[in-house]
Amino acid sequence: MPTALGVREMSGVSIRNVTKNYGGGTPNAVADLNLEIPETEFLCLLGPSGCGKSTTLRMIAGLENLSSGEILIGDVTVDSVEKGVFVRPEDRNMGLVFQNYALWPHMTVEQNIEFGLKIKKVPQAEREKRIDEVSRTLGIEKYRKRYPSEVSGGQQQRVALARMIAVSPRIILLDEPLSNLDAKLRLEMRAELKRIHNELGSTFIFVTHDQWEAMTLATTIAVMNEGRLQQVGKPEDIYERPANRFVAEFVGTLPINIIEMSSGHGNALKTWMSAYLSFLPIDASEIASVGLRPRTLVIEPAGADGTRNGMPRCAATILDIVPTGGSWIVELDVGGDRLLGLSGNIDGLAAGNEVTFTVDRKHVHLFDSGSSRVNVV
Amino acid sequence: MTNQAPGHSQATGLSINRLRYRTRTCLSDPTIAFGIILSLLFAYFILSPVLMMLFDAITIDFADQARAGGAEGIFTGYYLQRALVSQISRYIFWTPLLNTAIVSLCVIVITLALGSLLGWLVSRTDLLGKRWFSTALVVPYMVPSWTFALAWLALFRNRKIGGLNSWVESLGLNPPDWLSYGIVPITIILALHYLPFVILLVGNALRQFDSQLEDSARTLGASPRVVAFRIVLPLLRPSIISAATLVFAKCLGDVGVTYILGVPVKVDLLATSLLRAISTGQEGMSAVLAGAIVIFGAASVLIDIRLLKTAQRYVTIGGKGAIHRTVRLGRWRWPAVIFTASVVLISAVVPLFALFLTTVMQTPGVITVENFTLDFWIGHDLDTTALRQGILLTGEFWVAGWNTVWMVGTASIAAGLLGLFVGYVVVRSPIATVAAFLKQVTFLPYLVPGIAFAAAYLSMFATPQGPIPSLYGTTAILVLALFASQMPFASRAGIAAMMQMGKEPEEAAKIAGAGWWRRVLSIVLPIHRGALVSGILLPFISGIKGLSLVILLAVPGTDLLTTYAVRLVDYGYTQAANAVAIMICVVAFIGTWAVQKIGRSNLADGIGG
Repeated sequence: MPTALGVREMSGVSIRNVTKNYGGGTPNAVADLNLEIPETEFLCLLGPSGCGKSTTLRMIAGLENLSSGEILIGDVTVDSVEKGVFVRPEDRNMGLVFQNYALWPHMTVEQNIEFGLKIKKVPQAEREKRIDEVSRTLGIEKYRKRYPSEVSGGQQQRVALARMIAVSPRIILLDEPLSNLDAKLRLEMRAELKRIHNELGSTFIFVTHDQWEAMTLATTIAVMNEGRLQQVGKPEDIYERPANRFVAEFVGTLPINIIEMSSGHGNALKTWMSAYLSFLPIDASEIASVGLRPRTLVIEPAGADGTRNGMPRCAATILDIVPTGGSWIVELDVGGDRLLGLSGNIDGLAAGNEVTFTVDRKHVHLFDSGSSRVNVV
Repeated sequence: MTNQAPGHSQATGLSINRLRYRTRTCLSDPTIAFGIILSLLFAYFILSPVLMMLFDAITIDFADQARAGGAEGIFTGYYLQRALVSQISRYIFWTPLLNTAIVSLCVIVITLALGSLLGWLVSRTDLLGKRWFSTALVVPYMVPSWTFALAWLALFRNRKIGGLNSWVESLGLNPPDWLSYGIVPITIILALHYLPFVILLVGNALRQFDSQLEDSARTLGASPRVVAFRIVLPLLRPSIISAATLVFAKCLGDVGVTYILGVPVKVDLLATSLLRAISTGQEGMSAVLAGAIVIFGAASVLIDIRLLKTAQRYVTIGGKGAIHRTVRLGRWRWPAVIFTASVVLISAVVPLFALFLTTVMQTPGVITVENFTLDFWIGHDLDTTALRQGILLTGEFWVAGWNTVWMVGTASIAAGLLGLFVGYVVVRSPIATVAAFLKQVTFLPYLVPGIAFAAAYLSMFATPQGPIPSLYGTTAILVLALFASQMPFASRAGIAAMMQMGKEPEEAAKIAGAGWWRRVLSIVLPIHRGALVSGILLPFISGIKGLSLVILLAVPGTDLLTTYAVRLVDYGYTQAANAVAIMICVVAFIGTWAVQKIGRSNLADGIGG
């Protein structure tokens, strides 16, 4: 299976019924995971810490064994508990960039890059050429003779990337690739990764708990929680059509407003929402909760008429307005319930004002008692 | 039922494949196989000698068949009874035990009192020449403890054992026996030798101690006295307990000092009683005595570990924000300097200088030009029975020197390397029991004082064991015993280093396609170069000056410098013995200096070794 350098052998990854349990009565770290990752995809495994995303990445790399299920790279089985197949990580021809880069401290930048080529028995002349290429690509020519501890964090990451792409792996795995960088470097590295992805055409898989990282890098996001896959989709789908409450609450810079319809007494917010739901072509009794993203709230001074685009408005009082640079977080009080809005324009609004708000029907997220999404037909 | 058969065989096939998957994942990484090999190795070289020795204590020895009334190998209480309740038990066991208790207790009290004060002076006050003193105060630990015994003899010997005049005698005085030999000098010397332990441990703890803790007590209205006794002392308790148990364990196993200073007045500690039992070939008795030392030694270390575990809440002391305020000594400035300087003088300068002077003087203590001589170093045709030339021209000295270097060196290199591998397996092994076993078994020699460990080695290797012939009198037994006794420090160092690395660098190499050996050779060992160097050098230094372990195992043909020096003492070649001692100190100093230059290792790290 090891590929000669330069020959591109593109492959996807299939994860089938994979479960991972660390034993000792702990819950499954990964539970019955099924995921098809087509070749050349840039896939992100997104989830809170402990959701099993890193375990999944390490299982693909072969660094962690499976409790059951199988993993295929292309059409070659690299892990199968049921068939008794295991391919050593050494033989999987992958690239992995660790979160802390894991550069070998006793080797120079150049030696770090060269190591994988030596292992693959690439002749000296070609090794030199390859090191030249990748260090130019990543702009680290100047640091070739330095030790990892002598270059900055951002450069260390470039070295880690260079070391990885030097051997042209079929599958590239990244562990929180941007999390250790400051804001400016993040944007730079994001562009870099996108470019490398386009140039190499390899399959990229990365894990992160940071939705910004996920949204900006990935072509597909797989959201995980408590070892289970929650949703797979394009970044905008994940944001605009969350498959369940967990995804809705996890994704989004400002937390989504959740209105519980099934519990609590009839208060002003619930009454408004019930009226709102009656305008929608759904069975309102199915709806257990409703999610409203802050930025979709349309807030207007009180006095406008009772509906907007045919949908009822709700009266509220502004508790506070918090500037965030370019837009404002508007804290609303609806009969004792608090709601967050995000507005690009606060003309005529001030703390203490009586206002009304509503949302467009395409922006309401409806969830049933099982927390799954209910689509508005 | 027939319907279930295919399903059943399918399930069997599935579980075979599951097993195959497990096996393959395990075999992809030989850590487990390696761990099992290491476990067997250490079970054989560490665990079984100790067990065999304990076994010897309760089975009849060949030589005692008639007296114990049974055949060889039969279970017997004879040795225990003889050691504990017979007519001679007072001489063999109880008096040495009492002496050991008295000496250790006094040593602990003296070292704690002086050491805590000195530790505080060098860590928390504006003591003049603080940096210099903190190095000078550690010197006594760098030289072998029995060197002090030789120095003591050089200064205070009286006519009881004859031989060379001592310095005090040259002044025309005749020191009494209690000052020249026995409990008093043994206690003083052990106290001086182990004083650096307490200074280092207490000093380090105080250095990490946050002054804000004292300040907040002061602002609440506590007097300095109350602060000292209610805040500082309780928080230092773990270090003080630790120092005390270490000192106790060391006193228990120290044989050189007692051998040199106790024998002339027939004062025995447990360790010398054991030495006597072994040198007179009483296997069963020596097993009982060694067993007693092991029990006391192990108990003290285990108590220490337990106490430290319960005291872990104190770890918060050294938080990041710790502020260290230097105490101004004020009018105590000069008394403090004089006090510290006199400790340095008494514990290091005077003994070493006196020792050195003896080797360049015909008659110690007589300061005249013609009295000075280099004969004992480089002289020819001296008017002595044997050893008719200076020590530097004597073949045995160089043989012993070379023996020391290669034997201790081989043992240290083996221990250092295997220590790193033990660390690797302990940190990486997917099988927890292998990791736990390795960790415990390599720590075992720490619980067994050197002399008892040597006795254990004799029990096991003095007779042929399967394919292995009797090793008594060979260099192999010395190298093996030295190696085994260095494993506690080496494996601790290895585990610590491996814990620090994290597994990512190695995993990165795995992903890059490197197999196990390649990873070990190109990644793991080079990264731990520093740890490896100090893991080899620190045990090497303590091995060079150690006597307790090797005194039982070396024979004239396989002498090390330490045993050679003691042999010279036995034959009355005092100056030559002192010269050898000086040479050992020189080697130990250079070694210590090299360790501190090469690695970032601190002498305090080597205290366990």
